[in-house]
Amino acid sequence: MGFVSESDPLLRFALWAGLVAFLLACALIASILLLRVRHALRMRHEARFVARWRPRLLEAIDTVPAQLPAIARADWFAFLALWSHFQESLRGAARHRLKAVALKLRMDLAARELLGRGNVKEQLLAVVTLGHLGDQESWPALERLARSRHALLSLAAARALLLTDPVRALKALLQEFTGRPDWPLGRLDAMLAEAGAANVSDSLVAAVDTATPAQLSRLIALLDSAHGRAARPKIREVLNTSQDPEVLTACLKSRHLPVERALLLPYMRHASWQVRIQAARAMERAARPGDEKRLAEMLADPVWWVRYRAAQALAALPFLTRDDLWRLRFVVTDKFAQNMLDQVVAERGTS
Amino acid sequence: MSAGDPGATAAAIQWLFLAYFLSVNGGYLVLNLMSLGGIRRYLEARSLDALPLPVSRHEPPVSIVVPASNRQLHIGTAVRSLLQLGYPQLEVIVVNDGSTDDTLAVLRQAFSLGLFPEAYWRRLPVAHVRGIYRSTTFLNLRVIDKEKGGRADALNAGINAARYPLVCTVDPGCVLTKDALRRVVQPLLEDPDCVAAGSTIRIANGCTTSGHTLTAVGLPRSLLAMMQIIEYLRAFQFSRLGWAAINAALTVSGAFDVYRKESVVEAGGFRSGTRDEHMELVARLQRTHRPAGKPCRVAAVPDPVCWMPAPESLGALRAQRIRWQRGLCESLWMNRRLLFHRRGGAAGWVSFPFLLAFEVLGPLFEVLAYALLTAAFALGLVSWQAFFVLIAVAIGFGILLSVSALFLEEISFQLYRRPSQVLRLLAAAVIENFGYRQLVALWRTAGLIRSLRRGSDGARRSSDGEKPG
Repeated sequence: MGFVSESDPLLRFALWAGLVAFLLACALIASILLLRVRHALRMRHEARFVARWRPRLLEAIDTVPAQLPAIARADWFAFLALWSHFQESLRGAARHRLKAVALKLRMDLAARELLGRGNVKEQLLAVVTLGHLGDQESWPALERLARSRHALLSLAAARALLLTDPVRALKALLQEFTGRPDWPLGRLDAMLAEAGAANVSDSLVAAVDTATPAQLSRLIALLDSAHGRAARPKIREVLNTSQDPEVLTACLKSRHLPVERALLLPYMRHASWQVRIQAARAMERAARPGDEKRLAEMLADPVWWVRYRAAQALAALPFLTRDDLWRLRFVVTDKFAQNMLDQVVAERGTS
Repeated sequence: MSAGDPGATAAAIQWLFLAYFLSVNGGYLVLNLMSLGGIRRYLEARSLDALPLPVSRHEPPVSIVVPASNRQLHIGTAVRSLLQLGYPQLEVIVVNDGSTDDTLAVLRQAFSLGLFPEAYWRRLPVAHVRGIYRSTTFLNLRVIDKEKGGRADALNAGINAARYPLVCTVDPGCVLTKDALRRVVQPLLEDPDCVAAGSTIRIANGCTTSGHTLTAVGLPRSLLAMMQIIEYLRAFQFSRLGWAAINAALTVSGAFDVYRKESVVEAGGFRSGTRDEHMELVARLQRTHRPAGKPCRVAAVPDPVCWMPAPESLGALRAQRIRWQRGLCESLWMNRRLLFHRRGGAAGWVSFPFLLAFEVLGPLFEVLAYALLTAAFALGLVSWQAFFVLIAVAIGFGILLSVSALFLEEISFQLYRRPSQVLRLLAAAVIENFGYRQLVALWRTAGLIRSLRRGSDGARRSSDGEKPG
C-alpha cells in the first residue's frame, strides 16, 4: 500500500501549494471578468462623452462658445485626448480658439495636476496639452521632465517647451538636443521645423562655436532646420577646420552645404568612406564639365556605397547625356565600376 | 535512506515531481510579473499614438526581406500587402530560394518584373544568385532569384541587397496589421543600443483577412488551434516580454522582426544549418556583443501585429514542435559560451540557464516526472491521495499560468472583444492542461533526444518557414 498518508509533510505542502494555485487562478479569472465589465462601461461612458464634446469643439473652431459645461474630474483625460487630437490636426487661428476653449474650461489647471501624477500616460497627455497652451507656469516641471531618462516623456516635454518659447527652450536644452542618443534626429528636425526657422536659427548657429566635437555632428544635422543664410557660412567654416570624419560627413550631408566645387574636391579622396560617399553626393550639384573623370575614378572605390553614390552622381550630372554615360561605361576598365554604372543607368531608366 | 528502499524511492519521486513543477511554474510566474511591468510601461508610453503628432512620422527607411520557396499560391498577395504597409519609406526584397514551382513566374507577372543589372554586393556568402529583377510598377520591389540554400541563406541574400540601415525579415505566411512595421521599428528608433526587435505573434486561425492583412480578430473552431492561442499568449506575453524587460532576450519571433543591418553583417549574418536561424542569430549577437563590452538590446514589441496560421492536425503540430525544440537546442549549443560568461549580463546569467533548465531539459523532466509518478502509483509505492494531489498541483499551476497569460492580454490589448470569446479562451486555458501540454512535452522531449543524437529527421525548416496547417 501507499507510503504516504495525509499527515505526510510533502502531501500537506503539495495540498497547500495546489490550493494557493487554485485560489490565484480563480482570482485571476474573476479579475478578467471584472476588468471586461469595467472596460465595457468605461468605453460606453467615453463614447457618450466624445459624442457630446466633439460637436462643441468643432463649433469652437469657428467661434468660441459663450457657455460651456464644466468638465468632471473623471473626464479630464477623455477631454484632453479629444482636444489634443483637434490641436494636432489643425493650424492657425483654429488652434487659438481651441486654446481659448481649454483655458475657459480651466484645463490648464487640470493638465498641471495630471502632470504632477506618477502615471506616464496622464503625464504625456498633460505635456502635450501644456505645450499647446504655451503654459509658462509649467516651465520648470516641463524642463525637469525634458531631462528625465524616459525617452518619450522627455522628448514630448522638449517639444512642449519649444512650442511655448523656442528660443528659451533651445538655450535650456541644447545639451540634450546634441547629446541624447535616445532623441532621434528625425524627430528633433520635425520639432525644430514646427518651432520655425526664425526662432531656432540664431541659437543653433551660435551653439556651433561652443560645441564639443562629440556634439558637433548632431548639431550640424540640426542646422538643417535653421535659415540657410545663417547656417551656410557656419557649415563652410566647420568644413574647413574640422578633421573629424563624423563632423565632415554631417557637413557634406547638410541641406545648407555651399554648392562650391573647390570646397568639395578634397573630400572625394578622403580616408573615410562615409566622407567620400557624401562628397560624391554633393558633387551631383557642384560638378562642372571635366569633373566626371574624378567621379569616374570613384567608381573603382573599394566600398560599394561610394561606387553607388558616384555612379548616381554621374547619372545626375546635367551636362552628361545617356550616350556619354554609355561611352564612360566602356572607358572604365574596372569590372565593379562597369557593373555599378549598369545598375544606376537601369535605375534611371525605370524611375 | 538506503538504496533499494521503496519508501525512500517513492518519497524522492514525489519530491522531485513537486520540486520540478513548483520551480518551473514559479520561474514563469516571475517572468509573468516582469512582463506585466514591461507591458504597463509600454502601453503608457504608447498612449499618445492615436494623436496625429507631427513628431511621430520620422521613421528610418526599412528594407523588408521575404525569403520564399515554393510559395506560388500566396506570394503575390503577401508581397502586395507588404507594399501597402503604412510606412513612410520601405523597399521589399523577395528572395526566391530555388523554388521548383512557379513562384518566380507568379511574381514576374504580378509585378511586371524585368531583369535588373544590379551590382550585387556579396557581403555575406550566399548560394549562386541567378538573377535580380525589379518591378516596373513598384520601383521599391526587387526579386532575387537564387539557387536553393535554405532560409538563412535566402535571408542573407536579401540583406546583401538591402539598401537601408534597418532590415525587416518577414515570413510570407504571416498576416500583418497595417501599422505592423511602424510598431516594430520603434525600439530601434528610440534606442541606439537596440540591435533587434521582435514582434508578438498571434494565431490567425478564425480571424478574417483581406489578402495578407488582418481585418477582424476571431477565434477558431478547432480546439487544437484554441489551445495554441493560449500557448502563444504564454510564450509571447511571458517569455519574450519578460526577458526583454531585463534585456535578456535570446530570441525573437522569427516571423516578423527588425534588425540593424550592420550588426547582422558584422556578426556574419544568419547561419545555415540551424532550425531556428533567428534565435541562433539573436543568441550570437548577445554572445559576441556582451563580452566585447558592446551594448546589445533585443526588444520585444507587445503589439499584436503579426498573425500566423497554426497547425490544426496533430501530425503537423508534432513536426513543428520537434523542429522548434531542435532549433532551441542548436541555438543554445552553438552559443554556449554565453552561459555564465562573466560579462554575459542577464542573458548569460539568467535567461540562458533558465532556458536550458526549463525549456531544453524541462520537457524531459516533465515526461519523466509523470512517468515515474504513474509507475510508482501503479506499483503501489505512492498512495492514490498523493498521486492525485501531485497531479492536481501540476495541473493547477499550469492553469494558473495560462489564466495569467489571459489576464495580461485583458489588461493590455483586449483583442477578443466578445464575452463569448473570453469565456471560450478561459475554457481553453483550463482544458489545455489535461493532455495537450503533456503531449507537447512529449514531442519536445523527442526533439531534445533527436538533437542529442544530432540525427536528421527531415524536419529541417525549408526556406518558406514550412508553417504547418
